[in-house]
Amino acid sequence: MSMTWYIGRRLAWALLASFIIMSVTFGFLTASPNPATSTVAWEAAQEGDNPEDAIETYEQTRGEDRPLREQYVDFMVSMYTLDWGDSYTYDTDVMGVISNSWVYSALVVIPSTIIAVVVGFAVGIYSSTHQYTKSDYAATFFAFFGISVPNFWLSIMLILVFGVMLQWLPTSYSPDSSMAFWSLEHVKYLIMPIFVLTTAAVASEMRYARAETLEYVNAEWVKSARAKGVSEWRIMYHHIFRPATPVLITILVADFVGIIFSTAYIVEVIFGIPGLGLVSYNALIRMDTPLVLATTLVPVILAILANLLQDILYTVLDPRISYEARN
Amino acid sequence: MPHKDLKAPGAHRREVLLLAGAAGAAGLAGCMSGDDNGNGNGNTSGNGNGNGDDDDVSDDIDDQADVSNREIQPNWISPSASEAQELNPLRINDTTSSARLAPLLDGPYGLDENDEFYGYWFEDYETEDNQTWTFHLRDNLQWGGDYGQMTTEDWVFHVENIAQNEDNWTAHVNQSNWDDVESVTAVDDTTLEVEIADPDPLFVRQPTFWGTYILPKALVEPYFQDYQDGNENAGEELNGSDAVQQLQYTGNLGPYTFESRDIEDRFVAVRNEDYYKRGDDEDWEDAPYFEQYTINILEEESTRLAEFETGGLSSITIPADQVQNYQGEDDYTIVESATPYCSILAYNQRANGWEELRKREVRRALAMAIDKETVANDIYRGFAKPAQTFQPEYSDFYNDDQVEPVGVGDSYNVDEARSLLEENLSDDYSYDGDTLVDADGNQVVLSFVYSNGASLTEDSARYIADALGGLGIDVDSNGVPFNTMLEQYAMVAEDGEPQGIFNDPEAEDPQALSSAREWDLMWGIGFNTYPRSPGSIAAFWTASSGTNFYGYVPEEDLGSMIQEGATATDEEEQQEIFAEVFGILSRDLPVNFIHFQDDIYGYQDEVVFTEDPSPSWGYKQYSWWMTDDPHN
Repeated sequence: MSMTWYIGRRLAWALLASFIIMSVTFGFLTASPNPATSTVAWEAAQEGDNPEDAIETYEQTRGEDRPLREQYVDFMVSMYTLDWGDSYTYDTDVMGVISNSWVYSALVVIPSTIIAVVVGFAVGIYSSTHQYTKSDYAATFFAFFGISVPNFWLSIMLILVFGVMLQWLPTSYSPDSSMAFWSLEHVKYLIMPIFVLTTAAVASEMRYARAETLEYVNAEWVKSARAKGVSEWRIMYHHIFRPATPVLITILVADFVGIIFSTAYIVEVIFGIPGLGLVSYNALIRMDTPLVLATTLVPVILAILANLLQDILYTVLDPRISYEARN
Repeated sequence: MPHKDLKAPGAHRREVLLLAGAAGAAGLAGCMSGDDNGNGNGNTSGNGNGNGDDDDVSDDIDDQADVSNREIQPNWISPSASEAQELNPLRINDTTSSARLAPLLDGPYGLDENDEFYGYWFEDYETEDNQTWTFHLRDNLQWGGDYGQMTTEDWVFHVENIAQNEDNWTAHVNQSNWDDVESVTAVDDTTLEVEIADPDPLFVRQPTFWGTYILPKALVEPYFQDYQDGNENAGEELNGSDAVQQLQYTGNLGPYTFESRDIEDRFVAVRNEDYYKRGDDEDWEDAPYFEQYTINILEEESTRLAEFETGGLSSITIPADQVQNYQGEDDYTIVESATPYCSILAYNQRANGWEELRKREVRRALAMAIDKETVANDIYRGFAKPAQTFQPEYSDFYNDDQVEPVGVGDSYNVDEARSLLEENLSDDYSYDGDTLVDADGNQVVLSFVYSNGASLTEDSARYIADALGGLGIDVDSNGVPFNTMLEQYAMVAEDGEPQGIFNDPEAEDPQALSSAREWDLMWGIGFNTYPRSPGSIAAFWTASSGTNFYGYVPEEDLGSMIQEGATATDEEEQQEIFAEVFGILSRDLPVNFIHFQDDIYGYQDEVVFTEDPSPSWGYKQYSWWMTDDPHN
């Protein structure tokens, strides 16, 4: 089977998978009561108006007075033709909202992912090759601390200590509009959020890297390499890290998507970063169907593409893996 | 650059107690736990209702710095807990959204320290018979874009084709404000004559014009024409237009001009160089006194407080349980402002509530077992005042002689409450030792639902449950989100399905109705008591009123009394009638009126206020200035 055929099949599967996920999301949204409806009715009642009329007007402005089938077809067609319509909450086009917010998420997610991967893998491999030493215990302690400490708590503590008490760093993400994007001043606003995101991610990468590479520390080929006088650095990289890479990449994809859409949300709320996680969460809370569907589609596509990339990388990193075996 | 030492002696007053601050838009009335904007501006849209006097003002703002040194500072920064839900003035009914429009549009007029008319777009008004009101518009008001001068024609068009349009083609959310307006006539470009259905000496305090924003006729007219030609989507198209969403029409009608909006991040407006009110008097000489007005969205309360402490915000709303961190600090000024919002403990007198709650004496007995001063002073740290009826004590319509207190001083008496219960409960109930039991000998269990998510509401819910335990009653508490409480417990339900209404005005017996889930007591709802124009309370205390989810059936004809009071032409007569109504409510206790919660605002020390403490705190906020820039 050619790689083109393989990728084609995977992309077709991606379309089907995203269709199912979007349909389920739409189903959940329509089945869930909209909290705003009761509030609208309540306000009308207090002002002596008819609450039913108020609900009707509210639903009319959101196009929810149409038959459900019509709404479903409209939403799905618009999603797959990339005409994502307007967000009910922001009265602006969904594409604009997403293209605006992903930048903020990227500002914290990309650096923290890179740091987490580099530091996490490095410390993990070091731990595995120095098992049961003091440095291994220290790294393990740090990993458990990073995994255990709640992000919201750590964020608030950092704000209190470095923002309020020491006043070294800004307490929230609120750079002046005149501030240059690529400037040291701007970086100061990102230090605490990146640190919080990294703490959790680095710990997870480290534990996986340690566990995975431990398999190879005492492998026959490692012993042979040592016997031949190969340097420890080369052994670590070529003989231990490389065979462990396919599995670590699997974790990486899940971690990356997880950071963007779950961990980053907490950090975005606490530090006031207007990123994709925050927008997505608020869209769900406000039952903003076009924005919910679009912000669902984005991570679904990201995850599917990342998985595809991961599968292709498998074959590069480990030639024993073939496309046929994956079918 | 001016410095702090420019302030006059006495400049370091840090606490200012106000009464009945102008609250936000009507939406606030619904939820005492919910909509904290985090915005420290007392009066954003002016749609609220309050009243009072200065008797309890314990401290005064006397830190008037030298005006001659007044300079324009770079930025006023306010926080917001969430993004605006709407930018279309016709569809806004929440404080978060109206806070975005407030710096761009002044509105027709405000109410000053004495609840008197304070002119913005409308310079003044007159009436001879309280039924025909003539308002005078300034002649220097300009819309933005190509929409020309704001004239009375804009107002006539708004009232006739938007506010009173039967189809409500624009989805205007405050149409009911205009129900009593019979006609509006443009006498000339600046003179507007308004005729109302019945004489109302308090009409100028009603939210009809006060706090109303309109769109220019030249902007709306083509869409209205489209609508008349059969385009049912014309209202949506108007809403989505750049003119509305980019706020291009605001012209010189407010102190600031819209600059940018970064979703979930910030809203920025810049100083309006053509502001119509500049130079009105010394306070407004060069107003506004900031180059930029910024609203920062910070969802997390702790982040907002930290940002304020480090000088990142000019003002903030402070929760009662956090105020102690700021009191006595030289860096901040704290302003406490009473609100007209009454927090109630509702008794379910409907079919799915405890039937004994239909007895006035039983309701009183439960009220006697709850110490309102504990709630106000211990839980709300003194930033709330016990309520006795559906009107705050400072109201002109509250009369001590008529009101019968309960749950304070001697009227908080658990032993007497138990006796009252024993005397008035039906024969099915009795005390077995300290336990109230039913006919089967089982302890009486009351289902208590409250809204969760706000620590002060949850703390007071725990106290209430505990206090009722003192009567030998087992209270089954259940915290739920506010919207769930409304939908599942307050709305009328048929076959377990909520019907979208809270009472059925056509129902022969409102007590035969029920909600989707059973409950006996409910906590977490606050009502606006309308102390400026109490005629609006008809929505709450008649058997057929829209909010009567508790199934109250008054023995007296409260509806007629309220109507009589609202249309009485003599102010003294109005006061007498409403005092009697509030007296009846204090004895009837359709719900337990627990307390009036205060708003607490914090400001950076540099802020200089141009108004004295008053119930209308904030009506001149855009003439406030700063002696220095605290944000650097």
